[in-house]
Amino acid sequence: MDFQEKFVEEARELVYGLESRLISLESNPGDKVAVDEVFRVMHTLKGTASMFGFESIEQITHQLETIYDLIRDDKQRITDEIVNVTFSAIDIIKIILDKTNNLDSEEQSLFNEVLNKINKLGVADETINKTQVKKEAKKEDQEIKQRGYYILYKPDEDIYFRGIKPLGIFFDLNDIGKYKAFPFLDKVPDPEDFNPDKFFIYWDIFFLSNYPPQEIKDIFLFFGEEEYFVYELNPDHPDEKEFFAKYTKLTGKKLNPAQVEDVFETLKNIDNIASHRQEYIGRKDEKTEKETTLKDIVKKTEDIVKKSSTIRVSADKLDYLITNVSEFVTLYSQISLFTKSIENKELNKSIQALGKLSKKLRDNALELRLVPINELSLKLHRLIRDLSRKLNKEVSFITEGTDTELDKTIIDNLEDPLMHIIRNSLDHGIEDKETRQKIDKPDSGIIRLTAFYSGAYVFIQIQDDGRGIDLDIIWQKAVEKGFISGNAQLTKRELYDLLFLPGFTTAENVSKISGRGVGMDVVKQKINELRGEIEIDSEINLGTSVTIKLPLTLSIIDTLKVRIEDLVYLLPLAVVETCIGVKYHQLVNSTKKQYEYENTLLPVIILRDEFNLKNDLPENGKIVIIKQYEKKYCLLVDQVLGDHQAVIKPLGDLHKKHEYFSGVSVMGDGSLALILDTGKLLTINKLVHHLN
Amino acid sequence: MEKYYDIKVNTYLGFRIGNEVFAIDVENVIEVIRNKGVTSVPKTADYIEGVIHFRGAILSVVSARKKLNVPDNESVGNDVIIVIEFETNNRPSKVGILADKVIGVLKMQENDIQPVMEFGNYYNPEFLKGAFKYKESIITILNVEKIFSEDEIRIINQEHKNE
Repeated sequence: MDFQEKFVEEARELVYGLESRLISLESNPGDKVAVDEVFRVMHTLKGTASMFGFESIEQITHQLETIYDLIRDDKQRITDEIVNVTFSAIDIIKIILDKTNNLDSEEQSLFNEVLNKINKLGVADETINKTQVKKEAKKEDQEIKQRGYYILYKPDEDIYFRGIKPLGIFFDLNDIGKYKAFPFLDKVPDPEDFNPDKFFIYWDIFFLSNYPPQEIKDIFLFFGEEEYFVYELNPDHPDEKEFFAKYTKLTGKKLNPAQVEDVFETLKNIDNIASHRQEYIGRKDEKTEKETTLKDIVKKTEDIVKKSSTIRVSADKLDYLITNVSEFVTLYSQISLFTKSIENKELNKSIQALGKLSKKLRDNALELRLVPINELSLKLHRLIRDLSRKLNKEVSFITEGTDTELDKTIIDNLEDPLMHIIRNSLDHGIEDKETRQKIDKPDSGIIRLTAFYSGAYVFIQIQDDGRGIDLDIIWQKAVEKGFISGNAQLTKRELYDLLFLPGFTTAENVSKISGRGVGMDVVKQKINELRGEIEIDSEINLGTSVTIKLPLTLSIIDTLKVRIEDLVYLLPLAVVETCIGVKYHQLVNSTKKQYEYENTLLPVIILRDEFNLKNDLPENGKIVIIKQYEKKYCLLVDQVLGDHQAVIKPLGDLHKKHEYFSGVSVMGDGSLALILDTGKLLTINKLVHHLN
Repeated sequence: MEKYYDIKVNTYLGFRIGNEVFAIDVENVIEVIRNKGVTSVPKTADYIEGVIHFRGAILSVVSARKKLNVPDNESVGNDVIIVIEFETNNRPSKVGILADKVIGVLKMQENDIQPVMEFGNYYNPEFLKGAFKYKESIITILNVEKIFSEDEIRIINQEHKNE
């Protein structure tokens, strides 16, 4: 990856993070942390954009940085206008990043417009603020020069043996200045290994004092050179080499460039940052505050550790790793099969251990592909914000369980369906303010996104508190459009399922946003492609909920092994209800391809016929009853061989578009077994069409 | 005058199907493996033999014999699979070709290669790149990009849908 690509990737991440900050800033203008974050991102973008040939981004961010800096210093109030302009700035930055500068004329004029708006904001504010800044600067000159220090204080484990109280330092510091200290507990051992005679805590201390560095160092007279590090903060000329070399030596940590940037950002605003972190320090009332602060601190250290231990890897590399791991797993099964007959204790032991390891390895590898749906919910948040403004409706978006993780491929493919569902909720579900007032609903509507695990599945639910879907209207529309006959008797479930038919819409007015009747069928198709299911439920005037059920990962599936002639096929275990032995001839030779099960006649698909196999029929066969779309069907096979956890591999290049084989699994003996997509099989056989 | 270093030499992998000898540009060839059995996939075009496991991925295997309609007067061997890679629509694609026997790597000067005639060909001229004479036999060079192009694959899918 060249540097520019790397920049684009990182910038994109920054900008997405920015969006969430802005949304929270909009609902809570006093959110200092958000302002800081926005400033920091603008600053970083401005600094790096021009280095990689994105002068346009620099232009945009430069002025915004100034504005947010003023807001940060309480010299400027945050207004709707500023937030709106920032949003448009983000949009244009995204476009610039996507197109690597090659804007078309329309985009270029958009860019100019945004830049114009930004500059207008800036010009007005700067005139007021320049004078203010000058005044402040003068004031500071008159005071005695305050010095800022960064101190890393890391007493030796055996400090007690030297007769020194490690906390004494803080009293000394307090005498000659003001300090903010952040303890690190990562060196503290587990309770069972804990030795009360030893000392494990170390601190980052930010210190403000009139004293020169030598005086500060004198405080540490009784400490070895390895135990402390005093660094005078001079934001204009940070002696980076010295600072970071020392830091690494003392902590054993290395900072990456982004963190270095962070550190200097923090150091620059030491007073500012420190005041936000007041809650972490329980200098007074130590007894009462100790517990809560300790928790906070542990959490904070955890966050730091988390942050510093993330590595970004390209998806290709991951896929390659996963391919190799699954290859390894396959090889293991082969080895264990070949060595079954060898009676050698040592060998068997090793192979058993290898089996455990290969399982672990596989689980680890697959986990790597899992990402939280967090990023997705951010995009949805933005959509809701923009749409609700356009529609003049008030909506709050509530998310739950956004740390739920799913395979990256699934997440990527979920974006469109979820956007569509939410668009529907906003446009048709949530009523406008006046209507809501009339029926005693709160002015602001609610859209809620909930995600949670259940077994090997993830459920994602989108609920709104809008007007709901009227079953009678669905029925009427369906008859009108000829989807069902006028005397059809449908269950509630079947009626809601009508909404997924192509060309079906209940919307009275086709609006710009939704209601053209293209959509829910595509949503369903997309979800099905991800081996998921989707369901609608609704209550008039209370709201609608759409539930999506998805497999955790696309690359592993529990299957039932069946044999037809000399080949093994795999059926997804999730749809299998039960297996029943039957005589082949009875079914094949009868005119009706039906089988009676629990007093109902179920349609039968004879897979032997389906696959065009012409050999002689065996005497006995097995019926596999599967349940799909709430209905049961029978598949006739020669033999059921048991269950198998299959690592799915995509079919070969010429087979990619096969109607109903969704993949292949390599079996223990190295042979291949095709995985049957039962949903598609039924569709092809015209057994699934919700009506008729 | 043309010097010896001006002469372009192409390298081909020659293989036998029945009585016929074909060649593929070695640049397309990844590996030749022994045919240890192909898993057939129901409901696919006749000439698609099935799938095999190759270097951690699944590979479609085709019978060149059936695809090109090679006259079958020798006993069917199908002993080797030639794994080839080529580009269709700017995407690399991998396919295995069933053949009876590999003859070897053949170096041919470019000007020894005869162009494909529009008429009088037993095989579809679209699928061929040319021919050359080698040890008394005529060797036909296959145009793998054409044979397995996206269009071709789409037609295949259509065909079996109409069944």
